[in-house]
Amino acid sequence: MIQVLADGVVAASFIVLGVVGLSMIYNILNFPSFAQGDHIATGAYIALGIVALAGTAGSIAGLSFGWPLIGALFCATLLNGLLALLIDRSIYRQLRLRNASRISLIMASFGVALMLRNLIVLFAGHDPQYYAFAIQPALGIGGARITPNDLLAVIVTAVMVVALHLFLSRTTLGKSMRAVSENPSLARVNGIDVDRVIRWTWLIGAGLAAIAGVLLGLSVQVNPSMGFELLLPMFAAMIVGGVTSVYGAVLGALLIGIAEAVTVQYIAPEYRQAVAFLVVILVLLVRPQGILGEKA
Amino acid sequence: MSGATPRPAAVPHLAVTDLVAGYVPDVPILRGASLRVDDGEIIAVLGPNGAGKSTLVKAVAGLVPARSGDIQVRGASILGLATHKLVGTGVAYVPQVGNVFTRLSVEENLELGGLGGSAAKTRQRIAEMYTLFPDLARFRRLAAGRLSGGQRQMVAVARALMAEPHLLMLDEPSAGLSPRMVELVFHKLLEIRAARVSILLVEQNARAALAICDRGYVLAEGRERFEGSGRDLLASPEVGALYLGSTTRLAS
Repeated sequence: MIQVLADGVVAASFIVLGVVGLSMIYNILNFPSFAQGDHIATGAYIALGIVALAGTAGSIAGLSFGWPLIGALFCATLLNGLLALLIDRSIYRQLRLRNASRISLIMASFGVALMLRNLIVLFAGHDPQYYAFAIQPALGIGGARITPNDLLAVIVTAVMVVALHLFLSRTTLGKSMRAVSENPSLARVNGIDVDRVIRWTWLIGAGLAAIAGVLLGLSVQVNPSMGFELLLPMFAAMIVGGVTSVYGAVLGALLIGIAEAVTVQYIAPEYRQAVAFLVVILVLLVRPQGILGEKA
Repeated sequence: MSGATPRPAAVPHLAVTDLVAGYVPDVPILRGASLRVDDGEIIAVLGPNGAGKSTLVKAVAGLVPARSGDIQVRGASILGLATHKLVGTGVAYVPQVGNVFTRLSVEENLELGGLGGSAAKTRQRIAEMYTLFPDLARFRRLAAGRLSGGQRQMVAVARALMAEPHLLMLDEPSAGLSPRMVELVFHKLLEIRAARVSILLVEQNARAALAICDRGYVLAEGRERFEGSGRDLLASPEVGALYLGSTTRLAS
């Protein structure tokens, strides 16, 4: 049981890091970005490109990689954020300036998703790739066995969630983001530069997506549809947690991750998304606005 | 009042001249409206529904595009200024609805009102706001959405005052409030004016607004139709019959 819980938390980590961006973009730009999964993949591939240039020489504390990958992770976080900024400026911003409807923005995000995935295939091909091939002995922690890479994913995610909380509750930019997500017009009246807040939203959302991509790549593999496959669990997590709340999305991701792990262990791996969605339906029957969502 | 030595013509805090504005290019709501707010004045803008009262303040705030005419703040035109830069000109605006961030705490609402200043300045200003609105200090950690209508209106006004504006524009601050609460809010406006802040007050509640204002404008069909002191407008039969709200019209 503890093993299942540990597997669930590891699976949830990748969803958490991805869904934070999905939720922030949804709340600030007011549309669900179907490209969020592919931003995860681009982050993983940017890191892969850097590693290919720099190598993964060495190994730190039982992890399957060395310092170059840590450096690649930081660069990929930044570059992936800049890539999202570029996409916003050239596509979504043009639509905003023309007062495009929400459905137009959603369809545009589908287009961005396809474009990113095909760019990846164009440059790196379809085949799965790996950051490193070192075999990792699993660590035994409190009755559960977990690889050092997966443990790192959980720790990094936990740190990011705490950092996100501090950012949203303590910093002016974080409070401005919460203000814009609730009432953009009042935010403007208050002197908040909404365009600046939007830029930071993409930087943070795509930055966290890159971290998700690298950690997922370390845990499993890097392939062009790795992020797309996370899209449904991310949406499920955001909806079950309550779409207006980033914290709800984090809780939702934990719920989905654990539900998937339970299914893999006790039912069959093929049913893992079906069971996760069953959980979503059950929660929404009891609480239509989601765990931390507000009633409309 | 013109004395023996005429006062040098002071630059008005706000001067709106022949303003044409509206959401749709060919259907302006304001059709050449003009008004002026001088230093330390409380100006009421009254008129029937659809007269363009809210559009006027929204146009000043940059939320509704102006087609022609001019809007000057202390002598400088602010036409085309991005809304988020209005605070920098010393003009604060309290919208009629959605005027507080309901998910943010009272104190966070105030902090966002004082974005331009230093942290120390913001803290000092928040303390001043708690002196002006003692109720708010008790609810500082509470989400603003959980407050009563009157308390929310206080948060909205305090938030707007955080940036130390020289002009405060309020859109229907009495909407949805009990008569006692309206009295309290309007009394606060007099206190705020005493601290040398001019006030532009858009109101449906004409009697309450005319009672505290120095001058008032009655808007109809996108233009100002009457201008005068609060007392004169209250006494004017045409104004009373036509524009001071449906109750007067029904009674006459």
